[in-house]
Amino acid sequence: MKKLILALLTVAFIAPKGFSQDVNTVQPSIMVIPFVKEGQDIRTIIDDSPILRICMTKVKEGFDNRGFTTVDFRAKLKAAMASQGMEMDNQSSIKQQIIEMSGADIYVELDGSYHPSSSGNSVTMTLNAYDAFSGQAMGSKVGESGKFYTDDYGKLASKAVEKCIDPFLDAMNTKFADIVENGRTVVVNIGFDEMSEYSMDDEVGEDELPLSDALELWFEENAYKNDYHIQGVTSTKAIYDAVKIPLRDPSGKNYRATKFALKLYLYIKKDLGMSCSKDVNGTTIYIKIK
Amino acid sequence: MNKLVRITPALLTLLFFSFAFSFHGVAQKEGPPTAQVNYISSPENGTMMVKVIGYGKKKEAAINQGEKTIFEVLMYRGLPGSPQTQPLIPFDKQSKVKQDHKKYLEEFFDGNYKTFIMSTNAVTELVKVPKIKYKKITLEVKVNYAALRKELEEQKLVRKFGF
Repeated sequence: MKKLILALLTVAFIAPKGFSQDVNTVQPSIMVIPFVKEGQDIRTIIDDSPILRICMTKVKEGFDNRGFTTVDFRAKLKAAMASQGMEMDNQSSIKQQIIEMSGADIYVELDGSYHPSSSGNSVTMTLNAYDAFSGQAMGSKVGESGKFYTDDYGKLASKAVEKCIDPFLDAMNTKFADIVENGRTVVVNIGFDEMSEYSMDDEVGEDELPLSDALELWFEENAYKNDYHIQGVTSTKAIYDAVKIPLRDPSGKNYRATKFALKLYLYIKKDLGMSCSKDVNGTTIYIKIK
Repeated sequence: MNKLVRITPALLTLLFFSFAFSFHGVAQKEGPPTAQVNYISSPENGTMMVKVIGYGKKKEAAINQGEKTIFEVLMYRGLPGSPQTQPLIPFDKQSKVKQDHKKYLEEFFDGNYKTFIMSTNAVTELVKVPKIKYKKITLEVKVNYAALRKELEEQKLVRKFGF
């Protein structure tokens, strides 16, 4: 009896501690970058446009006010230039490389223009947020300063940003809420090694289903809320262009694309008995069956 | 078989008091439901100046009603043209939030909302409104909406930015 009471007390005091373990929720990293047309030099754009510099700072300030720190684009650009590992010929490629190098999950592209006129001067600001890996839009807003008889374009730029930053952040936050509720999207690309003897039509597993169907059943079971979309299946490739995975696992721990990749890897290897390799780049999972 | 309810003096007294109290309850309302709030400007980052019409029988009641209307609009409707175009509490979450945070919201609209008001200026005197039993007053109110949002985030009525 004493042992039973001791056991019950142990469970009562230890178990809740185990369940209430604090987990730091991984937050998306966000970077504010200027809009660049094809062929434009991203450094010259920032150096030559005080409007853009002010707007970038104001947008960052908007994120700070919501308790969110952004990745500093100019610092990343300087670091990238110092490392000189980038392809300097292609300007839009530089932007892409900085996005990739920064590790930002989301980038906010910012475009500002100054409109002088006899009835007053104004600044217009466009903000667009994108998922760095999937390219999915996360929110957009246009802010206008309104017309004023002033040459202080810095002040006009501030006004333009102030007018749109809160609705823009609200729009982004709605997307975040959707991700928390319905999961984040990953892309799964399943292919074969050149030397592989398998194809998508081969019957595999205990049920002897064609590999493509076996995989689809797996996705049906493992995609968050059964939400997945197949872009296409051929005998050599299967592309799942939108597979939802939860943001957190049932115990509240962060669930990353790598965990989902591991789950799929283990299914192919152990349940289907096929050798394979996996690679994860951001939110894209590559599986190569050998 | 048929049992009729006997109207006794005690029952009559009960009925009388029930009616009396129900009308008393209606008379305690501070004004008609309105959303007459219009955005004027944002004097500083995180603040907004709005114009609102408050209704009440006395000046103080009309001011209180006007001020409360501002917060109802910001929290449940959103204010077009302002930095808070969307409601602070999303439409699809409102009934749940009202249910889960009933006590907090009661205390908030009982007077805590005043801690987010930076200034209130009466633009007009309290004037009679034809056909309704209330008088109205026009106010210009400066609201610290950034602090309001933070407070609602802390109290978990509104989700914080991010995941």
